[in-house]
Amino acid sequence: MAAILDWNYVYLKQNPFADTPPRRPEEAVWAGLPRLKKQFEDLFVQALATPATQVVLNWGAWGSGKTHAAMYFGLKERLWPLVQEPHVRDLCPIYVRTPKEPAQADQELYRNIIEALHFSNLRKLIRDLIAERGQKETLRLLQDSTSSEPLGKAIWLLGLEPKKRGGQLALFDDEPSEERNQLLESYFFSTCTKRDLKELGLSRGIDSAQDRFRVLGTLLQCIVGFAPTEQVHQHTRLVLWIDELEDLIYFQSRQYRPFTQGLRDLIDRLPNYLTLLMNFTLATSAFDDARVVLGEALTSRITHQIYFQPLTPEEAYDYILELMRCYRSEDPLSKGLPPTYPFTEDALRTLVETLPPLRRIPRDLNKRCSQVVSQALMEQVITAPGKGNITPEFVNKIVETQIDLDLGS
Amino acid sequence: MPYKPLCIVDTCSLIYMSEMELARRPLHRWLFDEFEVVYSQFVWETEVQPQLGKMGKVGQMLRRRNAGAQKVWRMMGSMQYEQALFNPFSRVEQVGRCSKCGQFILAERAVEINLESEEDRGERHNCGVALDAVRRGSHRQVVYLTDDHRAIRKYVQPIFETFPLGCIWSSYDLVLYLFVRYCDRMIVEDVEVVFRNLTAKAVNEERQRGISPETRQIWQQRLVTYTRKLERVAQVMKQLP
Repeated sequence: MAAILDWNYVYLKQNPFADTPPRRPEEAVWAGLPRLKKQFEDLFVQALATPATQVVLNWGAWGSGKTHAAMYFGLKERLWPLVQEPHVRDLCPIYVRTPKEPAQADQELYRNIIEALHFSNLRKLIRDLIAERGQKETLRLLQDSTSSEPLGKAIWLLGLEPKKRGGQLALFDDEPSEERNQLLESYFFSTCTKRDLKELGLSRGIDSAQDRFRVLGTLLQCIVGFAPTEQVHQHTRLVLWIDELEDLIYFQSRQYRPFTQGLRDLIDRLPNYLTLLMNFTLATSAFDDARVVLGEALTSRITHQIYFQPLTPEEAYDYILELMRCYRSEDPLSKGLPPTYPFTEDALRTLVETLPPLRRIPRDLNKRCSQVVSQALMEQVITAPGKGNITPEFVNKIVETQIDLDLGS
Repeated sequence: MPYKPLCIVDTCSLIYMSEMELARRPLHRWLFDEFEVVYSQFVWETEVQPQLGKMGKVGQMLRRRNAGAQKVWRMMGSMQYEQALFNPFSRVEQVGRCSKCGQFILAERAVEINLESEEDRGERHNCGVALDAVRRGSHRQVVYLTDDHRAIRKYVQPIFETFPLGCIWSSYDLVLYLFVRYCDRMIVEDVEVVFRNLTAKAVNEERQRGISPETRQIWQQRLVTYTRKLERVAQVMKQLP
């Protein structure tokens, strides 16, 4: 079987028609969809060269490529070439999914973002801030930013080096650095005891959803930087993707309100250098419907919307062609075969048209291509590299078989 | 006491509306005050009674002084009703798919229902209750309240399309009805909250059984549709003297 399903027979290194998005940004390729790609590129050009915070709603049908876009543009190296100087000093992409447990939604989002940031990075960031501004000034800055003395102090503690003898913080004297780090990490994950709080010299923990979003806002501000807004090159652009926001449908009102209001507060706390991209699967093609699920708190902050619309037959044809090109082991043209190989050009057009207009989206196109090519390999329509091809009749036969299977299930 | 319409209720609706409030009043209170709520003997014995624990305050209310048993619709020959209504039986089903556009082709076709099986018997017996209530003349029309959309498609809709016994409501319809009737005591935001909570309750119940993206989208669409209906109702109510 392995020999039969050899994608090299059709001059492809592997099956390019994945039915799930890539797991790592490095694995993502962008095929076709030039209009959609340009919308993102324009967005990131603005993000890299200007301070304005962007709140973007990426919406479309299930399988239209939203998660794929998050993966593809989650790689810094793909964004830097889009702009010339002056631009931000760095980019910080973070990808998280909408919490699956509504009862602890704010905790889960908070924890996922903190974990994506890594404590070691956060410690270095605060250390650098202290080195630049001094301990007192940094403490004041963080307390102002969190609007809380204990919360600001906790963040400040992240940046203090433990002293073995007679240092700034007597409470950490003689303690191994790792132990102290763990104590602070427990604090940020709200798992520390009253004794731990006393040991840290903090009067209270991170108790509420509001606290969590305040801490998060300040930590993200530390990444962005505290330089004057107009000095673009002294800031980092934070690119936060929140995937699967349609899962807000699982939230009862009492869970949904603090979560969406917390997100709104986070946006308001970071009026510059934040790009928040929210992926949202919508059953219809009416943007207004998204308002109902997302609510006014979030939709009122949206600055851009990107619609992952179904592809025209021409776009779908180009998409498949380019996707195969990304995975070619050899160029079929060099073998005297059409660029659509293993499909004849007519077969590829037929395949595109077997899908109804609203289902002409990457996931369904991939699924259909994968079915047809796999079947062609299994049925030995293609017997050796470049020998045999997929005709419109074969495509129709496979599609009809699949319909029968769907109806039977 | 004014005449109350008859509402034949399904178990899942009672579960969905448990712990929900509208205008600071439990939703089931509204239901029981507005309607004469009934269900079949089978529904009571095999669905409602065993699941009273999942129904929160509704469950407590139905336990009190045997109230749950008193809501059973008393009728003769429920099995004969089931036999007569569902054998023979036909309904609209997917019979194919257009090879050009890929859309499903729907057509009415005869379906053989296994009447020996207890699966879905609750829905079938509640359909019998609806027919009995109208046939015996005790009620001119009935409301069949259910949030089980699979059961609606498989049994209730085909029966109500043939027998003009009344209407099929979901819990969203009930809430919208209450807003029409008591809009001076409710605000739109309260109703939106109930719609959201009903949706969350339903999708979380379905999630436990493994919800598909398609089903999730159907619920999303329901939430959107009823929110739009609510906006329209509110718009009209504002203009009335």
